[in-house]
Amino acid sequence: MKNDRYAHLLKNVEKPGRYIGGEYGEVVKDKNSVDLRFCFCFPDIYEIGMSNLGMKILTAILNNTDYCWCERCFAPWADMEEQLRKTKTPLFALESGDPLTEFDIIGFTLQYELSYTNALNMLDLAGIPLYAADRGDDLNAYPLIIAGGPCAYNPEPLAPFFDLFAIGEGEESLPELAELYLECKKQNMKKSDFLRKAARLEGCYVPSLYEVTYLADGRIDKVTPKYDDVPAKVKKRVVQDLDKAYYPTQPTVPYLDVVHDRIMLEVVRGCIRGCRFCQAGMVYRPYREKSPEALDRCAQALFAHTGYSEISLSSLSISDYSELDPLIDRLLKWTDDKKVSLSLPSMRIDAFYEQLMKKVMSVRKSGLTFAPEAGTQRLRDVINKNITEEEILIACRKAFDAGRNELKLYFMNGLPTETDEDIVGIAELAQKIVDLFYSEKRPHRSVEVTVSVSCFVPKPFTPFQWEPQDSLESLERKQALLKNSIRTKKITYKYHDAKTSRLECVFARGDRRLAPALAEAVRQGQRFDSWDEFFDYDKWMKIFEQTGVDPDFYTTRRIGFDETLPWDHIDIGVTKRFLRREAEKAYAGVPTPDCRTQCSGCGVKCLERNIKL
Amino acid sequence: MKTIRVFFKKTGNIRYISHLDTQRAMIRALMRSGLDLAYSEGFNPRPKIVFAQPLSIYQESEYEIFDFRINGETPLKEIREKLTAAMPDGIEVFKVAEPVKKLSACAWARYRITLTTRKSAAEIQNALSGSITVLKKTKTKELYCDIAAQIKELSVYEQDGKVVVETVLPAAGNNYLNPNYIAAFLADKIDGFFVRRIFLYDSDGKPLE
Repeated sequence: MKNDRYAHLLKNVEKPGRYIGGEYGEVVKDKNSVDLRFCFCFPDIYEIGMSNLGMKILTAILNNTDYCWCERCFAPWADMEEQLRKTKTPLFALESGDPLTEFDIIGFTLQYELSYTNALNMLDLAGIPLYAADRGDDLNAYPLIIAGGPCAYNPEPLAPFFDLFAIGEGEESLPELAELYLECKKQNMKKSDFLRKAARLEGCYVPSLYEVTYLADGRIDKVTPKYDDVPAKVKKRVVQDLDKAYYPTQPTVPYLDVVHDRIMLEVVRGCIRGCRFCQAGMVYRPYREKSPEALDRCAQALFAHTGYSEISLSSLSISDYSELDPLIDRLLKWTDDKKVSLSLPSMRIDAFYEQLMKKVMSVRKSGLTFAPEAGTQRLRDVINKNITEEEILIACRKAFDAGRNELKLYFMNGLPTETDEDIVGIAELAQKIVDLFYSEKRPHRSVEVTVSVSCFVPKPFTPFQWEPQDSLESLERKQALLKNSIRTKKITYKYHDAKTSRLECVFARGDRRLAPALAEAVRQGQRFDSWDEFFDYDKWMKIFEQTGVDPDFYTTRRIGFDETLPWDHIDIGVTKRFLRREAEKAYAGVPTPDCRTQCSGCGVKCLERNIKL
Repeated sequence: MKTIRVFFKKTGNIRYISHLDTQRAMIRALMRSGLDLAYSEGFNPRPKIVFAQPLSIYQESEYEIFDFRINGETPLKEIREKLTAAMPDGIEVFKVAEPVKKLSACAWARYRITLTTRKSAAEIQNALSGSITVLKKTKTKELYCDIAAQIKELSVYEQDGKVVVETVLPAAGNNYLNPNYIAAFLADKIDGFFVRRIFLYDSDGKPLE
């Protein structure tokens, strides 16, 4: 921001750089020369939000138009919130410094469930009523409040707060929505009339236009549109040609040390693997690749603009990219010279090979992480993580041979059908890797294997969406069991707080009846739930009690295959029939081949017009 | 390979960016400038860049310096143009030259501390005329010390209705005094303050070049 209107607040906060904008590449327009002011909100701190690729893409697309100026806003940290509340200063956008209430549309990206309270708190800090119904029917009274991102696939816990959810990829739907909004605003249309029109745009879900009824036992009976012209199912939007899709090459380069402070090159969208716990693997289908030519051009432009010295090849599983070798060869032609390093953060173990590693290592050393996810072959088959122990050990041997001595392994606990044997299996596998290191003389004298274990959270739109989550007691018992099964200091054991995962599960599989609990939590000061220093489990349990929510209903309960799910009226292309088939194969321990080997008929093809695999 | 000295101003909202973050922003600016930079050796090659003296967060400056190394012969004018184009808002490159003295010759800095106060210049002058005892914090300890003897020059005057303390303080690597201490000493007499560095001097008291 050019002016200094918040100097009196900024002098009292720890990191004022989070709130001032002004970074290299920031887009500043004359607010009087645009028709639409959009504020893109990320419900976590600047350093996290500025790492988000979706935000970079969507703000750039909106700013590429003449009619719109898209600004940014992040959740203020506790010290800044205190300043804002004490001085009754409404939350403002970084570029202009203008309060959020001066914007036409406020769009949140929902990346994880535990940021919901932050999103609502940001509305509160802006002086905007949380409930959509309290914001009136005048399109000019308050900004339109919308949201998108992966959590918008089951937006039901937030349904009463938001006017609209953008389902799927926003590259095309967001400008369409913005244009419709402008047109309706020019005609002085009521908000309800605008929303009725918006509901007919593909990928736009207007929660207020749907009625949810419940059975006596608390399960959902059905979800019905209130009007005939409102679609019964909202189909997600998909970018058809990723190569031709707009990709920003002039992003804002932050001053602060943000989480992903590097060039992010989106190589692929979707994943061919179909791990049964993985929501991203299902909701980002169909699988689409970009060409090495387009990517190389993009990377060069990004380097010239940003001055970053690292390029991260972003995808859910980079080794599945069919043109990885040509891409890396192309990039290495100039990156070495410019001292730019490449990182491949999502390598699969079975694809890990020395040559590629040597190439990537040629400039800078980066960390090595593998994700076996489960400790035994039986359980890896259940979750459809198609890798064998042998493949894991071969990959580790290659890494050690190449001079590496630090490895990080990701696992989950609480997976469906899991037994104690699977938990102990994690320790045994890690031990085998340590033993492998010492089986030969190596340049490094000691090895460090980090075992990082998260708790399984059943997510909507996965084959495990019906599964009960392991109880808190069981998860904590298994965490202790694993701890006691590790017998060497060469293995570092890290695990996630099971309580956090339980809360995550409540909101991931939640329905509209959770909204009062969220509003109450915000009122009682709950925020930054994904931050250890703020997460207060006992307070959450109290809030659930006060608002009549039984967390077990959403977590440890097995949901029936024939039950109406809170997200059944959202259509991601992948069919419920396929998900159920996958669940049944999981119980039988039968893996499913990846999409390139054999089409498993998930149904997403119905979204494709001409996408090649 | 030769060393290039960049003189720049840091004003406006970029004063909210810490020294470490500013340093990183400068490295990025160099990287995107398209200049043929000399890099450090090792696993993480970086452009070689050294600052004369860190500038505290919240402070502005009209005279900051960093050195970097460049391969080949590029005219200074071209370097300045390319750097200017690559700099973020609030950083103004006003001179690019070959170094005259070593950066370690940096010894003193001139500051203008603009006060928000109801006191007169005379009253502030009076308060600063005796010993100036402040609580100094280091990583390991806190202690009270009198900084009066460290101050090379100090004058107080009024400008545009504001009281200004103009002072020259040590700014060497091993002997540095933050002007914020003077403001801290005046804490009960002022409602706020604003620091602007005006010059960096060498040991002869001349602008560092």
